[in-house]
Amino acid sequence: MKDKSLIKRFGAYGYVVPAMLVFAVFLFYPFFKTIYLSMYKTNKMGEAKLFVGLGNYIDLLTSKSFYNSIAVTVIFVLIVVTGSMLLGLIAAVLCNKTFPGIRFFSTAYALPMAIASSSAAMIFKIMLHPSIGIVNKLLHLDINWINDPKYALVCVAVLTAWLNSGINFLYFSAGLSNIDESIYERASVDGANEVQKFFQLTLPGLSPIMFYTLVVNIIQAFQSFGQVKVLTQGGPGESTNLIVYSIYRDAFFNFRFGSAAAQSVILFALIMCLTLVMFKVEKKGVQY
Amino acid sequence: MASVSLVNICKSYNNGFQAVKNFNLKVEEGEFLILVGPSGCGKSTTLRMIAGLDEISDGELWIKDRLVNFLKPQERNLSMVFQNYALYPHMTVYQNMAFGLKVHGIDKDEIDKRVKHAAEILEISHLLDRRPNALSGGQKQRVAIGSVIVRQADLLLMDEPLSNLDAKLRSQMRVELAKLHQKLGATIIYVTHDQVEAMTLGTRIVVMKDGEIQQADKPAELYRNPVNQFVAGFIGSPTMNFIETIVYRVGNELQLKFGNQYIQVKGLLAKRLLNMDYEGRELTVGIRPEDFHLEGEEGTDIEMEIDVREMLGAEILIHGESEKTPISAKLPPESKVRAGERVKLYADIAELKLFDAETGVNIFYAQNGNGEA
Repeated sequence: MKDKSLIKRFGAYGYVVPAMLVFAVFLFYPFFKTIYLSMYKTNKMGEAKLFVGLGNYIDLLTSKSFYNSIAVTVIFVLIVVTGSMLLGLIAAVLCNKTFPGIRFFSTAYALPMAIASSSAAMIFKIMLHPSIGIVNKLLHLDINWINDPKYALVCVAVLTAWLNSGINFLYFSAGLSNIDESIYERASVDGANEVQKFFQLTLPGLSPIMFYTLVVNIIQAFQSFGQVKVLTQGGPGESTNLIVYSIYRDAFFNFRFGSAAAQSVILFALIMCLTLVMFKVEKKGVQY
Repeated sequence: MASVSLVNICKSYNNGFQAVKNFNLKVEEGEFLILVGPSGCGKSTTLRMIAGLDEISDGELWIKDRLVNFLKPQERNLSMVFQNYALYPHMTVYQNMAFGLKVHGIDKDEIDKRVKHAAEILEISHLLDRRPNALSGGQKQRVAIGSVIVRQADLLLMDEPLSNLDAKLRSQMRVELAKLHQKLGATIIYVTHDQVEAMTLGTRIVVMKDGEIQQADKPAELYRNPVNQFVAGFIGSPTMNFIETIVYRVGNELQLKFGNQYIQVKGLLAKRLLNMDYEGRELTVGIRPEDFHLEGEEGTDIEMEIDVREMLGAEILIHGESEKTPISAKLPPESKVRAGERVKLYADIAELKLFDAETGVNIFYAQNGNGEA
């Protein structure tokens, strides 16, 4: 009897165990280990050797390089989020009408989603090559896109925006298909032109999905890594040293796992705060 | 106010399907015109072509003496109520009603005046700050009509605006719409599949079938003198009884025989049928349920077995069969009839409608009325 009631009481938890195990090994353990490491100086094997408390954090907050990293990341996120959302939105609006070949265009616009960031970076590297790249050839320019600190960050950001626009295209297409077609018909009869319809019906109609897309895009942009690794390796100078790349460099080039862990914790706190703020603002911003 | 002329209007699709065929109609200023017909008869397509939402394949559309075939909806100066109301979900009731005026660049004070006035007429002043998802079906419908009123457009189009409401609200809104038409005096073109709505609201009704006009007439005329069996069956509730008969001559009289029974026709009517050479031919007799009585002249009676008796308070409806033909009759409430009984019903011969069995045409349509369909 006693056994039965135990199974009854705790049996349901059994179903959660596999998922929790995966989470525990790949999420919770690394998470807490990172916090733990961030308070230690480590050896080259990444083992915690000397407890320094908040020492790693104080070092970071007094380091110019870290502030540069944050600034570069913020500019990068701004460009990527704006660019990818605009691209996705425009593509989705264009593909919201039926016309011959619509499937081809839809697939083309969604395709960046399926391309690995490192392979896209390889392609961009060739396209942006100063002497043989198609970009310079088409624009009749002679710019060293990737090795000029003025352009490097923009190049990486544009590439990332394009990569992220695929999933945004899907989100916005789904959002658009949720808007009742008849309100556009009514607006036509009411006398609204296409621009008025877009700003007064389409955009407000997309506001719920727009918010979700914004949150996902910001998080995604903060975590960009592959394209920087392949395209610029954080350079020239530190002009594309995004925070995630800086973490990678600190940990696996300089073997300062403690400092890298501290940066990870700061990045986590940053994204969490931003997300919380956005969810607070959501209630005011989303139209219905 | 505007008059509307549809001249040989056609709508065909790429697959060859013709939704509307050679539609000719003149809608006078201030008319409340109803387009009625079964699903798929082309009535909504016609309305959408007038609105400019669907392209006109062929023919001419004139609004207020202006050819509007190639004008966009926003250039036609009309307003429309949609079946699902099409309220803007993110706007308040006030903003919904003001939208059409705002995009036309009308002055804010004027918008405020018109919206508040329309809200008063429709008794929705207390709802102006609400969003559509906080409204009931009836309230949404009023907002949709309000949005149309404030526009003060030349022409109001309504596409089954009452079809989403429950029966009680629908009859209430019907009265409201009729009042509104009297008050505004606007030209209204109204699409419905509900013949009760059509009969009660319209100053003129256009009955459509398979993309063609069957008859366009005043409600009473449509009821009294339908052009064919389709119109006769579509208008009226319960529907008209149709009995397929063969015409036999017995002396100077005619017998319209069905099974072992017949309806006797004498005098002028018999003479006219003989003149039209209907002896020995098939005729479909149409009798409205209210044209059956429990007493009457010998020879005009048919016997039926009652399957169902419905007591509606002011009248009794009986449904049953006579010679395998379904029959419905409307009797006074004091009538002593019961389900399962056989009963003799006397038809009012003056009200008989006779349709050619092959073509379904009312053979006395031209003689009975104006015949100007």
